[in-house]
Amino acid sequence: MAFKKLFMFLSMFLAWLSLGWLSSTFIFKLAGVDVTTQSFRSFRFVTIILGLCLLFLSALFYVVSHFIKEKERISKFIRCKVCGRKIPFDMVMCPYCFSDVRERKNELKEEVSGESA
Amino acid sequence: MIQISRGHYLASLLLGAAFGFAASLFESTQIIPLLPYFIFNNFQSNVYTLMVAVFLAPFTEEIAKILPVFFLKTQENIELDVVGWMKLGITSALGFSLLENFSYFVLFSTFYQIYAAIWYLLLRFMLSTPLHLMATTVASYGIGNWDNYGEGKYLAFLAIAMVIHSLFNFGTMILEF
Repeated sequence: MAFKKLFMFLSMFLAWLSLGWLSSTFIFKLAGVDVTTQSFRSFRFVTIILGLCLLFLSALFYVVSHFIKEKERISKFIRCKVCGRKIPFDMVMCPYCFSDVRERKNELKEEVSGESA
Repeated sequence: MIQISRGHYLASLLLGAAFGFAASLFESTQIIPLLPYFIFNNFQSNVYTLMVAVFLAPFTEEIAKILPVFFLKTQENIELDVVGWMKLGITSALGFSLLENFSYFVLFSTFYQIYAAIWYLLLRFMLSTPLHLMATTVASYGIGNWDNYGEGKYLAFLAIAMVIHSLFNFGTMILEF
């Protein structure tokens, strides 16, 4: 899920960035700023090529985000029921509030055995 | 534990700008350790610009854009999954980028006419803002995984984000933007 979202976000921002590169020299011209490079035409050529490459990369990321499959991952942490802090799943007692977390573990065990049954 | 709300997004946006201001102050002070080098080398400003743009800025800014999410998470005790980390990170990067663009607009308007400064602002919005958002998405994905699953290898994503930022800055320097 997160990896898919990462690709979706990257695809979106890459498309935005590619539009920026494609339009950059035109915006420069509108601003009336002197372009310091020797040849403005070759400069424009480079930015357009760069923009098109990024646009292709953006499309690729978008397609990949649709086909990617992710395994569901299990966190190595649990939340303490009393203080809400994150603690390693194999703790017997919360190191922050010293409350008993065995009860929580038993609940998890019951859930697992219930699913397997 | 609290779920992410609109207020958290707003706080992240504003904190992104605040941390961005702090990062820019830090970057500007980094000329001090390099002063002896510049004094003995006839002050080559290009070297300083290269060092700031390619090494110092990516390192400082990527950390500055992630810190607001850490701050919110610890202070507000928010329940954050990896996607939550990415969303708050993107908002923080947006705040950072908006402040940066505005500061460049003010700087540029002192040298050029106002309409040129407005076009320059648009250019930064089209180039710099998506870069910041993209780099922070990658970094927050790694930090989010590290925070949720405790796997340190995901911290490499922060380094990847810094490299992306660095390459972009280097590219714009090569093209003399």
